[in-house]
Parts: sequence; structure tokens; C-alpha cells
Amino acid sequence: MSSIARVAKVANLIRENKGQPPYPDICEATQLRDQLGFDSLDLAELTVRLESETGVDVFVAGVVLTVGEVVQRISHD
Amino acid sequence: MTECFLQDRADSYRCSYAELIADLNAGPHALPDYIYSSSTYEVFKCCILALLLERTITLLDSDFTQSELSQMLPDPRWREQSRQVQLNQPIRDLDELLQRLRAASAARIGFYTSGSTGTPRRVEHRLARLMASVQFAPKHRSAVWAMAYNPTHIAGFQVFLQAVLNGSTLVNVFGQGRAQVLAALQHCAVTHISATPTFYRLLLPLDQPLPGIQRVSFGGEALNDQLLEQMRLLFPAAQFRNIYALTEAGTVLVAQGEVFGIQPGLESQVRVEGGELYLHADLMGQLSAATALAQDWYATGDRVELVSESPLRFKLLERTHAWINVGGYKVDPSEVEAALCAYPGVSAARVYSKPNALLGQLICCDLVASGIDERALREYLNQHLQSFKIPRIIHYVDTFEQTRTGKLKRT
Repeated sequence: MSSIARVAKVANLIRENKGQPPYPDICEATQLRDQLGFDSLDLAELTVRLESETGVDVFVAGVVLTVGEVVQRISHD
Repeated sequence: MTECFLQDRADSYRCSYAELIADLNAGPHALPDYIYSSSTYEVFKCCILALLLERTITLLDSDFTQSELSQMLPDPRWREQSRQVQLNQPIRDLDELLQRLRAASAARIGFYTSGSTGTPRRVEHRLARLMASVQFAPKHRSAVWAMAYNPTHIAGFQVFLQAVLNGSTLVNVFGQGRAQVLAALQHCAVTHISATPTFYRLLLPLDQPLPGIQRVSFGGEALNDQLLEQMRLLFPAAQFRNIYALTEAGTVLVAQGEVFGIQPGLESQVRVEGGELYLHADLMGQLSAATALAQDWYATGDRVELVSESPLRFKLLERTHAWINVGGYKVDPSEVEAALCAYPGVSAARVYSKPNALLGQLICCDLVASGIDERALREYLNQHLQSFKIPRIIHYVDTFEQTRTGKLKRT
């Protein structure tokens, strides 16, 4: 699975658990807070779920704002 | 210009001290024993009335669910416990309000805090004790405080006291997202912030420095040098303070950075033993009977790393409590486990946390369950627990490992 597909899948799972529909067309420019509507608990869930799959804590090197930045973090390490 | 008491980010709400005083003078007011309101103004107005009239009130989080409330306060009559009150003498102006508030040390304020007993417990403080950490000075009249804590928690109440006893302005940013908080800090020309390290971490990445901020205080979680460095860039003109406070004791220690020392007068009331911080009973509020102190010393459960023994200086390490710290909020795993086990089809639950760089910890759980619709379970939990207590990741397992004493293994 590509990194962006992995992030999109986890992001939509988090939305689903909140009773929200999947976000259409998640791309690198998608904003985690402003577009996906993620609050701090959602962001923490995102990083914990991705860490269990990739071994990378996305926020350890600072907070990021977009899906593309998340992809960069999990692809680099 | 009229001094502003309370405002929010978009200026859609703004209340001056003159309007507050007019409201206080208007009376009679219904002053409930238990303050449970989603209006920050209502909460603060009730607090001010309780202070002026030297009453006892208890603050409840506005997002407590009905089932949390019925566990904490089994007798539903708490909702009707309310008194009609009126000020004896009207307040003429802000100076008189401040004078009367500062003299009102006999009021008592109750807070609820998560422990590890399954139900949040009540702690009551004399106002005089909470006022001990308030700094009074005429220059504070022009301070603009961001209210970043829940106003019904002790940390939020301390910010409220610091502001209102000096006639400063409060700007409500509690529970708001990054963009709104940054807009509020600039739009309302905030000068002072007191918040958890998580709150500041969520302001990153750095857009532009905020040179208007004069004072930045941290509390509720361990602070690390990395975050402090980033905050020095975000708030280039600010002085930094690290606060050690407990709901059970109020503000206890204040440091410039990571390393805490003991201020004069408290040397005999704070000690470190076996790497754990202990506070003398004199520093503690009045706990409910079931949790009264058995001894003179209260074990905080906070692990520390000694920097020097004499004078006593130490760094706070991550906590090793039974409860879990989620971005500065205490979560009692046994309370969450009880809520999970009350759901039909769940036969056992184990609540634990996963570390992460954003909130410190995140609540997760393992469930032994059959025939569960997870969405329905989540809806049920939303109705029964505050959102930060709800497990974000649920694993289904066949059975649990237990420790040798028969307790659930949490790690």
C-alpha cells in the first residue's frame, strides 16, 4: 500500500468512528484540522495508529498540518 | 476605555467589568451549590457571587455526562440545591469590587478530580489557600489572560482568580482549535497564558512569533527542554514559568524551567523519598471522607529526578499513577473499564494508554466481547464518558493476562 493510501485509510477510519462519512479524495494538500476536521484527540489517534503500522510517531519531530507532511514523516524514517 | 472582564476570540462576546458589576448589583441571583453550566460567564459570575458572599460552591465540568454525574452525585437533588442571594451593598466600581473580592477569603470551592477509585472525587479548598499563589499589583490591571484551561478545574480557577482579583481581562480559548487560538491571542492582544505543555505543542508549527505575550506558564504535565526552546521562538518577549499544582493542593511549586526548587517557607512541607514527591498535609485541601489522609504526608505519585538534595531541587518525570494523563487531563482507567463492562455483550475490559508525542498518552482498550457493534458502543460511550476518557483504539481479545496477584495487567 502506498503511504498516502495508508494515511487516507487511517484518517477515514478515525472519521468513521466519529460517525462521519469518508473524506472524498484525500491528497497531499488535505489539511488535517481544517479539512478532515481533526481535533487533538483525532491527531493523537492518527499518530498512534500509524506508529503501530510504520514504527514512526508522526509528531515526534513537531506538529504537522497536512496529509502530505504525514506521508513525508512516515516515508523518511 | 471601559475595562474588559471577559471576551472571546471573535469579539462576538465581550463583557466589561462595568456590565459585570451592574449584573451583580441587579440581583437577586440564583446561586446553585453545584455550578454546572456551559456558559463561561455564568460559571464566573457564580464564582464571584460565592466569593463575595463567602459561600461554598462546587464546580462541575460542563461536559460531564448524565451517567458520570449520577455516579459522582447519586442523590439527584443536587440540581435543586440553590439559594436566592443578593449583595448586601451594591458595588460602586471596579476598585471596590477588587477590594471586596480580596477580602473574601472565607469562601470554599469544591472541585472534582480523577483518582484511581472508579469515580471522580471531590476536593474542597478554602479560598485563602487558593489566593496564596495570586500575585497582586496595579500593573496587572492591564494584563489580558488567555483562559486555556477548563474554567471548572483548579488550574482554570487559579487563572480566573489571578485575573479577576487584579481587574485583568480574560479571553476564553478553552477547547478551541489551533487557528482560533492563534487568532484570539492576536486579536485580543493577550499578554499572559497559562496552559498545559500539550496546549502549547498544538500551537505549532510556528507561523509567526507573538511578541505581545509577556508571561507563559506551563502546568499539568512534565515539560521538556525541546518544547521550551520552541516556545522561546513563538513567544520571544515572554518570561516562562513552570507550575507544579495538584487538584488536591492547588499551586505548590513554581520554576523558571524544568528544575523545581522549594520557595522559602515551604522547605519543611515538601520532601522526596524513593524518587517520589511527598507533600505535607498542611498543603492539602479537604478531601472527601473516603479519601482522607491517613498520615501527615501525601504521596503525590509523581516521580522526580533529584538535581540536588540541599537545597532540594528536582525535575518532574512522567507520572506513574494508576491514572493516565491525556494532554493534561486525568483519566481513571477503572472508571472507563466500568463503563465498558456495563455495555451489553462486553464481558471484560482492560484500559491502558499508548504513548504519543502530541498528547503524551492516548486511551486504548482490550475487550472480551461478543456480538458488539462498535459504532453503537462508541455512541454509548459518548453518552456516558467525557470525550477524552473514551478509548480511541479498541482491540478484541479472547482473554487477558493477569498479574500474579490476580490484578489486570495494564502494560
